[in-house]
Amino acid sequence: MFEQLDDTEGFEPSNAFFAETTRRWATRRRRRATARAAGGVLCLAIATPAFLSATQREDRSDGIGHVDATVAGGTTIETEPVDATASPGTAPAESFPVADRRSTNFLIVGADNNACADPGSPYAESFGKDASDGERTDTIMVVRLDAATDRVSVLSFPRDLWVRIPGNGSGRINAAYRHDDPQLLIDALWSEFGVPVDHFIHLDFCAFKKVVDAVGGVSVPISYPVRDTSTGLDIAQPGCTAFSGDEALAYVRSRHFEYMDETGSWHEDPSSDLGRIARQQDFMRRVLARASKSGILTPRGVSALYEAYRDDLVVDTGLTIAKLLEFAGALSTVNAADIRGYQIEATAKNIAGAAVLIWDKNSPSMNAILDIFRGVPAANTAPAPVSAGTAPASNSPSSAIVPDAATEC
Amino acid sequence: MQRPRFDDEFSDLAGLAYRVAYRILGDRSSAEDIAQESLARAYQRWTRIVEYRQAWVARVAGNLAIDQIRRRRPAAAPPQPVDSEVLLVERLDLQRALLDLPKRQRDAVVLRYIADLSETDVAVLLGCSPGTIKSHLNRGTTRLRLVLHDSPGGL
Repeated sequence: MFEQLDDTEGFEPSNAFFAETTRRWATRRRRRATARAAGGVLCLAIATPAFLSATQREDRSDGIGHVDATVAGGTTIETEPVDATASPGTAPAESFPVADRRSTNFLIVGADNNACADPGSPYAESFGKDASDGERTDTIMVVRLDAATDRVSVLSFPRDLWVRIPGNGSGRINAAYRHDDPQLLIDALWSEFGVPVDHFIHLDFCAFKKVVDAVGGVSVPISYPVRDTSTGLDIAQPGCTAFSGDEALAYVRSRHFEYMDETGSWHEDPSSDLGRIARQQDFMRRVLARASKSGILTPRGVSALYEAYRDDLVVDTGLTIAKLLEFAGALSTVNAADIRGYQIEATAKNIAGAAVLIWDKNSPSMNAILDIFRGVPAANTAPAPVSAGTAPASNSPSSAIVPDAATEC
Repeated sequence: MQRPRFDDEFSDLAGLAYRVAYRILGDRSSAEDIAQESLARAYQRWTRIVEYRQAWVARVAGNLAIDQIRRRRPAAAPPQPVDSEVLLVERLDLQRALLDLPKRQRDAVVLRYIADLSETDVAVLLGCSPGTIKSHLNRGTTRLRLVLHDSPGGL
């Protein structure tokens, strides 16, 4: 199409050209090695949490996210998309490697981009009318794998949460996230909540859909007809509803979740983000339960998933396939019902005309929740999760809005 | 089957990267620089990209070139005047159009029309179905044409 724009003199790489290429490659390699070593040393300092200013080197021009960032507490995070072609000849191991017995916090960011909008899908509309809308974080959560208790805890951050963004004043938490660059968000989580991040996973809509499809779809008990005209969610028939990837996305993204009561009138979920977060956490639990059942949580299955995600997932470079398998191994022993979901306690405020959420710094229960993720030994009064597989908390939203966790599908 | 060696592929890939960068930038030294950079990156992860090396290298080169016009945009320094005036205008239009395209469409357009890869290769690299690529390309070229058409020296 653009032949007329070619160099008329043509191009033939000379020896000098080749030499310069090799030199660049060599420099790049050394730089990487240094960064790794420095990261290792800094790891030792992790116990003395000190806010480290972000030193970032952004290098995303190779078309694939690739970021260095400094995690609060000291580890260096470099992100790169998962690349499973690294050693195509190697057969996946038959058993999970033994996990490191340290507790680990994962920052999981679900991003709203249009990457996987299949134009033929009935949900295509909900992917933003204009692809140039770019990317927003749809979901921010910290997932903690607690080595001591073998427990998985999830803390979801509503996107309107008002936080300090180091070096950038204050803003909504989702403003701290830049595509493929978790640094500001990691810093904000650390300085605002004292929650450290060990690993970073960026999951886009494609990856989410693939997970759901990979486990063979996920079923959710829906007690009333529900819909969300903005995401295309529309379930007329209550009952166990099997979601494919697309439908699941319409469900977990729903912010204007409506249900129809017995009299046939529609009600919108008044809790907005709370309901949404609880639905997401419930859904996660079902995905995991389903994954255990479908036998995908095996070294072979996880390796295959890893391969399928090459383009849709960005993780820090410390999160190698070996590490990932360790964590998957730990996860495979966890009962999905034991995953505890928490959310930030916050009140709605209006700041400069913007509706935001201010979290309650003085609330003992809020701090008890944060302590779980800070790695502070639990007080005797463990806070009630907003969502758990068993014993729903007293203030849990009605089953019209969040599926009853105990109901299997 | 023997995996293709980097050394053997070097010339072709360097030529491809150069062409992609040159079509966008119209500037020999920048295009050469970008080709070197793309190839250095390719070598670094050769075993991982070897199967789709052309597409990968083209994408890196395209992104580096677009980054460059993005950085130089406020100053709006035109490429070195190797071009005739008509070509220069056309290239500047192309640059502007590329910058205005949403990322996915831009990726698809660069790989398909600037790197001249097949739709199948583009689909594999971008991890989409051929149908999705077609629709990205459709929308991408429609927008590209609109921009190019609105200005003198358009397509």
